[in-house]
Amino acid sequence: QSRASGQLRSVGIAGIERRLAENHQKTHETITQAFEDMSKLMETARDMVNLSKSISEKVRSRKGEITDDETIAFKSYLLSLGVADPVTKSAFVGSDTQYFQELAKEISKTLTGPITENGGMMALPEVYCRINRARGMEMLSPEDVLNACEALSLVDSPLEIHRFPSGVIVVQLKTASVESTVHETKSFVESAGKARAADLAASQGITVILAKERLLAAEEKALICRDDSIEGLQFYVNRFLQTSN
Amino acid sequence: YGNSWIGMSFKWPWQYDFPPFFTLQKTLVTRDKQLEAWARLVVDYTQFHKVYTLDVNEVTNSELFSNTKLNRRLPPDGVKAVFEYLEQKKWVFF
Repeated sequence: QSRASGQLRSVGIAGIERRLAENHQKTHETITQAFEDMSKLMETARDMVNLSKSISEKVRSRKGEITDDETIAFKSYLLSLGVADPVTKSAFVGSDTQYFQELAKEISKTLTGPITENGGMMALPEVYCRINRARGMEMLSPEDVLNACEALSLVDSPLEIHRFPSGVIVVQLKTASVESTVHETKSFVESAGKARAADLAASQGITVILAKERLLAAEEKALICRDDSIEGLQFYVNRFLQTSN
Repeated sequence: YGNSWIGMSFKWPWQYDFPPFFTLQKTLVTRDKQLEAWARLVVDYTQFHKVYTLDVNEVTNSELFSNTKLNRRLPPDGVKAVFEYLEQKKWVFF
């Protein structure tokens, strides 16, 4: 037939094999190219990093002469490269970068509602989870979230960051600080007789971690005292201070 | 408490039935009150039973420091703190 010579070649087993080989070759080329591009990109990035380091040296050497805006711009360059260097960065501009402040505004806008519903306090990993789930793309790194939360105090927000002595970091409503919850915690322990962190968590609708922190805060204020045994860590109203003798 | 047929039995203070008594408290104000109560208990107990010397290792396992009814006992660091408190108040000598 008329179309036999051209088409037949690509149908037989030889044809299939040839097509596979072609595909293979093509993938190989793509991969090679990708890696070449990657190494080129990394070389350029290295230049950028070196450049930013030398700029950072310059900025440090003549501290007073440089305006705040210039250092802010410089900081945003560092951030876009992913080489945010807190050691040299923290020396400039009293505050954090504009990026974090904007992020802080976003966090306070999206999370004030959920935090109010959760008893006025949310642990940082939960904040991280919520904000990234809400964004869907252009995710935030844990460090970004932490920095943004620390910038909350700079951007007129109803939220603030709080660090417990145990190292647990939370974002809380300014009106719902731990100090204001200690008496509430005490009356809960009083009415329950004795309480574990899990009991308080269940009754207040908060996480066990936060419940434990609240109990420890109330213990710190000498309102409750601990009973640590194999039955677990339980808290009682502090009768030591109420009834002497 | 009053087992009158044996004579007078030792009257335990209310703290002895309070489980937190058997955990060394973290808050300083609270711990101070706790140690004070422990010290008084140790003195009252030894006077009642007319004991004038105590082996610290032995007394740790006695009813003084462990309440079987509550299933609580004062851990070694607590016992140590009690005796340090007693010594500091010059109530006992090692």
